[in-house]
Order: sequence, then structure tokens, then C-alpha cells
Amino acid sequence: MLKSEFIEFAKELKNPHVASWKAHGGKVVGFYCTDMPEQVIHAAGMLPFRMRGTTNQDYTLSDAILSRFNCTFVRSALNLAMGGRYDFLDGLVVGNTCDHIRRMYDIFGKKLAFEPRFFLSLPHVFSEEGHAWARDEIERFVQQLSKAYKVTITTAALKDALEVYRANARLMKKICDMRQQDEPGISGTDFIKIAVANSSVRKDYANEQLGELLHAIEAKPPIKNARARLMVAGSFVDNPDFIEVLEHAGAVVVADSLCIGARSFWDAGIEKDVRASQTDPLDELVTICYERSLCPRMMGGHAGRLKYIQDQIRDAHVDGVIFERMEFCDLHGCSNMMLQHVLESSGVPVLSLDREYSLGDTGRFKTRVEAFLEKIGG
Amino acid sequence: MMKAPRAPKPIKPIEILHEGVTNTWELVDGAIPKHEMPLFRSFLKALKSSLEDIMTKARKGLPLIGTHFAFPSELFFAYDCAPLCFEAISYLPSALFTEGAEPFYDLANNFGHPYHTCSAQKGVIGMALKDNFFDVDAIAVPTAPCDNTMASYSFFSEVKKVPTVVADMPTYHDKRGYDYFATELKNMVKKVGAIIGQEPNFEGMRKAVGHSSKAIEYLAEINDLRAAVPCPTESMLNPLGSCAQNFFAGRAEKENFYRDVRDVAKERVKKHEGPPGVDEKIRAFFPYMSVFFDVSLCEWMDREIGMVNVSDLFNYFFFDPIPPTASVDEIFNGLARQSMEYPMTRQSEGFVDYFLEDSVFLAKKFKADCAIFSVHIGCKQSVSVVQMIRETLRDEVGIPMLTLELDIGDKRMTPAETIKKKIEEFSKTLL
Repeated sequence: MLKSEFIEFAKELKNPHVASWKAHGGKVVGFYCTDMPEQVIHAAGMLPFRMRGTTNQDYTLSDAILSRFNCTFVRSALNLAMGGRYDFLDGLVVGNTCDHIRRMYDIFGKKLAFEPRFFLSLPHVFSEEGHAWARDEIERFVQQLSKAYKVTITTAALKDALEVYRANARLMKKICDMRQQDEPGISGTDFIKIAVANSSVRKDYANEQLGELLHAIEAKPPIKNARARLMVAGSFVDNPDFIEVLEHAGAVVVADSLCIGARSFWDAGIEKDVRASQTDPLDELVTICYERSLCPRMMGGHAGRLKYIQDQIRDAHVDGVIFERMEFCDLHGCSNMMLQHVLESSGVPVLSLDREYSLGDTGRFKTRVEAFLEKIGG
Repeated sequence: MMKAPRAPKPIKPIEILHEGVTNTWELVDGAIPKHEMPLFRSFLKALKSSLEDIMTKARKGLPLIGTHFAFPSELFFAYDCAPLCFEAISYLPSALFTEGAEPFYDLANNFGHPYHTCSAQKGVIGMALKDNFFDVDAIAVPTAPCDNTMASYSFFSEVKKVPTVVADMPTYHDKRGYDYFATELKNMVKKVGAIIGQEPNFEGMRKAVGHSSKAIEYLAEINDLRAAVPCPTESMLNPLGSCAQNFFAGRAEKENFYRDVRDVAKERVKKHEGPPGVDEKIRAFFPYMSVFFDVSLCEWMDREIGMVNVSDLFNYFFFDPIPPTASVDEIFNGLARQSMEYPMTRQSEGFVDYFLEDSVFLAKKFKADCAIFSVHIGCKQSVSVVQMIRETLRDEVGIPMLTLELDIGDKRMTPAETIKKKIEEFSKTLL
């Protein structure tokens, strides 16, 4: 297990970096979902904080508003917000990513009187018109953020932010590559901790931390003799304990298709030459936030999601894939179903797990993972 | 240029529905006095006729276009084809047959479709999984009003490989949003034409819009009449109307059905009468949808406890008809606007203010004594705001709201008897 103060940020909401940032007068803007242009918040000199349900214990407060048909992630995060645990936020960005999350914009406004809130309506299909619409949305967001906080977000600041995020993506990719080695340099559990911590701090600070972590990982003995190499894909996972349960059986998670995991930085401008001709930072943000989306919120994105998973299976020498679905997550539920059929027909062992956000039934998971590892010969 | 004729697609669900509707029609027409159940009678007539038209076109080998309930099927009358509303094909068996659509839901679930997805698409998914049972030439679908639309329709494009054209709908219901969506619709019509190998005939679309526009006018009249005490229409009008709006879209049957309903309602209001056998004691407004899996629930409410469903969200349009003089561009713009303001899409794809304001407006308009909210397991965007609607109706209209957690198309989740019990208990608190 990797020892680092930074990766322990995954265990809490208001981590020491956030506390210090706030103590120095910095603003923190929460955002739901990977496809939001958090770079704009960074360019405005604020700290973009990915919304999570970490540390939530029950749904006492949120269930007075939400239904049992809502996913337990939004119920958890809202419960924390209603209990004052998100009081460090100075703003909130929500997009039309899924129905559960989209309604958080309404609920934070109507029930929590939380302001300022920002909404981005990003297209659900890939098209020229969609590109133009997404660009317009991001431009409006820049203007709204500037107005709300009385800050000027210059083109130079946006370019700088993009560069910081590119560097961040490159570092995360390097760590991800170490997870994919024949003898993985890092466990899936530690990787998710890093990804979660990375989503909860300023990226310039994160980059310093990730640089140090890279050295620490290199200096650490690799993981040997894992029973099987797994990939995890599906609904939102920010709880490293979930990955730990899977790895507890002796497997190692070497790849993922999780929105707070590899999907949060995959193809996020790492290969700079791909966009060398693009000088407009807004266009680049459209590419990052809209065109590369691996989220099943995108209709017509199945082929891209499948290719990504197949590439991961090949590159990380994956022995089996675990598709996990949070209850009532329709988008991942249906996407998992389609991906599972294709993978199984090509001989890839697949395990499908239904779960809640809180990890209450680890015994059931352990049994099923053990059985899956037996099946794939691990 | 027309493509060469191709083998007809299997449409067993349509044929089964037609057989069932024909039998029911004969029973109703032959055994029930002529003045009884005029709305149901008119609905069956329109449904039978629409199904026959679809079957005739299918036999001729004309293309079948799968469409979505919250979407203007009128667009596809620009082609010589048969648009089919998938959600109606799921829910018609659910409403009309004892066995319901459950065998098809099970097929979808066995394939891996999650239990909590919407039964409105799940039924058709099950039908498509049966060999040589159901298929279409193309699908045209919006990205609204819910995750299930996007998640479930992807099954047809990715698993069944049905050519699927998607119109992206933005969240904002303003000029920018309407203009964007109108462009999406124009592009969609072109793409569908390319798939089925036909050039658009916009006069066909105009004619279809004409039928729907008349229906919109009739519905506006009907809704004004329904505000009368006692309410002149049976509760059953709500589920029937939900189906009529989309399954009959663009057809003369839609215009005829709503004209018949208007005439019946007008006559009853003139006489200060409700439907025969209904002693109206409580006026209930459904801020969301009615229950589809057991239409007899409506009859039970009307006749057994005197609670009349004066309207649900699906039977009120917050948009105007498209004038007959509209240009083709204006028709596209009008359909884009109608589609974005369509029941459920307006309230679910838009921000919650629409939902809250519309609920208050409708509860007041229909002089509701109470509200009943069908908390459908498939609708994650509405289940998120049920409590806000309850509080708003309480604070701004002064009426209580009962919530029913159920699957509106699958009787196994919350059986009709359980629903009756809850409604009956609720009614006792009101009288």
C-alpha cells in the first residue's frame, strides 16, 4: 500500500488542501461529473471540487426530498450538503449528465437556497451542431462565472489552465501505465485514491503531489503473483474500499472505465500535437468535455466506449472485466448490458455487480468475486 | 429515388393488438348500450383504424419508423411510411390484455436490461428479442425527456443494428433551444429519408400537422370543459388520451377521437352531468401520469369511490397548434417547440420550475381537491422532485398529495389492489 498524505484526501471531503485554500481566501466551486469544463474554474483562480458522497452514513436528510428510486450517490452527496458538510463550497456547477444529477441543480437552488449555481446543457450526440452548441455553452459559462465572482477570465488564463490540466493528465496517465505493468507498480485501490484526491484539489498542487507519488511508486516493490488482472467499469465509484474488496480476493485492478478514474483524464489533451492547430482554448475545451466523452450519457457513443474497454483489455492484459452498476443508474445499466454481451461473445470473462454507493454488503461482493476468480482460473 | 421493394418487417405486436382491439370493439359495440362508454368506444375505433393502416403499409413493404412518445411523428408523414410509437406498443398490451406486457419485460430483463429502467421501452425491447416477431426499418428518437430514452433506444441501434437517427434536445426552453432543436428535426427528416430511400413530400407532413392541430384545438376545448363540476369525462380519458396523442399523431383518427370526446363533454356540461354512473365526490389531479397497466382502476375510482381523475399532466398541452398557413420552416419550428413543450418533456427535460408552476396551474384550473402522483420507477427526473411538488401544491393550492410508488406498465411491482387500498384510504381523509 502506498503511503502518502495526498492520497488520504480520498477519505474526506474538506481535505487539508481545501482547508488551507479557504483559509487563504480562496474560493471552491463544486461540480458534478467528468464532462464539466473544470478548467474554466481553475482559470478563474478558484478550486474546482468534484462532488462526492464520501463519509456519508445515511440518507436521513436527503430522503426528505429524494426518492428511493434515486441513486445512492446523489442521495449521499445531497445528504452531506444538507448536513452542512459542503459548506466550504462557494458555487456549484451541474450539467445535464444524467437525470439524478441534473435535478441537483434544481434541488440545491430550491431546497438549499444555494447560490451561485451554474448549469451547462451539453449535447447528447456527437455532431457539428452539437460542437457549436457546446462551445457556446462553455463560452456562456466563462461569462457567467466571471460575472458571478467579478473576475476576468482571460484567454491566456484559459490556456494556462489547459496546460496545467494537460500536465495533470500526463501524470495520471503515467501512474495508470504503472498500474498496467506486468507486475503492477500500484494497486487499483491506491489508483482510485489518487484519482479521487486529484479531483479534490487545485491541479497545480495535484501535479506537484503526483510527481512525488510517481517517484514513490517507482521506489516501491511491484505487486507480484496476483491471482488475476481485472478491469472495473460502470457507475460512479469514489470509494476506494469498493476496489479494495475486489482486490482483497487476490486480484489486482489494472484498468478501469470509471468517471472519476481513468475516464477523467483519458485523451484529455495528453498528445498535444493532436490539437496543435487549435489555438482557441474554448475549442479545446469542447474537444475535451464533449467530443471525448466516454460517458453513456452520449447516444451513439457505444462503439467508442467498447473500443476503449477493448484497448484496455489488450494493453493491460486484463483477465476479466467487472461491470458494476449502482442501483437505479439507467445509463450505465443499459450500457453495461450491451458491452457485456459483446465482450462475452468474444470470450472475455465478465462479472456483473449491482451495488449501492455505500459499501454495506461486502460479504456478497467477496463471494461473487471469489467465484469469478475461480471461474477465470485465477 | 425509391428503393426496391423489400420483404415486409415482422409486426406481430401490431397484429396481436389489432386482434385484441377488434374483439374488444365487437364486445363493446355489441353488448354495451350505445350511450355507455362513448370515449372508450371512440378510442377503440381510432386505435383499430390506426393499427389497420399500419398493417396495410407493412404488408405493402413500406418502411416502418419507430418513434418516441414525446416526439412529433407528424414529421414522418413526409414519407410513404408508417410511424410507430414504441412506448405505445409497450403499454397498449399492458393496458388492454390480461397478461399485459410482462412477458416482454421479462425477455428484456433476461437479456440484462436493469429492472429499474422504464417499462415503456422495455416492452418493445422484449418484442425485438423474440425471433421474427418485431422489427422496423429505422428509428427516430430525441435525447429527451429522460435517461431511459437514451439508454434503452441505444439497444436498438447497437444490439439490433436498426438505423437510428437522434435529435438532440437541449435543456433550455428558449429561442436558442427551440432553434437548435428545429435544426435537429430538419436534419433528422433528411437522414430518415436517406435511410428509407425516399424524398420528402412536405405536403404529407403539412396534412398530418393539420390533423394534430385540430386535435390540439379540441383538447384545449376539452380541458376547459373538464374544469366544470361535475367533470364531464371519465377518468379513463387520461390513459386513453396519453396513447391517442402519440399513437394517432398525424392521423385523421387523432382529430376524430378528440372531436368525439369534445362533443360528449360539451353535451354533458350543457346538462350539468358527469359520466353515467359517476357520482363525483372528489376531484383528483394527477401531476404526472395515470396508471397504464390496469385501465379498470379508472372505472373503479369513478364508480366505486366517486373520485374523478380530472386531468393528468399528459393530457394538457402548453403549446399552440401550428397554423395551416405555416411554411415548411415554420412547421419545423412549430414542431420543435411542441416537442420541447410536450407533456413530460417540458416538465422533465426543463428545469423544475415548469413542473411546479404547471402543477399549480392545472390543480387550480381543474379545481382539484387532491393530487395523486404516480412515482414511476423509470422516471428518475420526476422522482427527484416529487416532494417539491407535494410541498408546492400544499402551500400554493392547499391540497394534499398522495404518492404511489409503482411501475406504471408492470402490475407486478405494485398491484392494482395495493393501489386501490392506498387511494381508498387517502379518499377517506378527504371526505
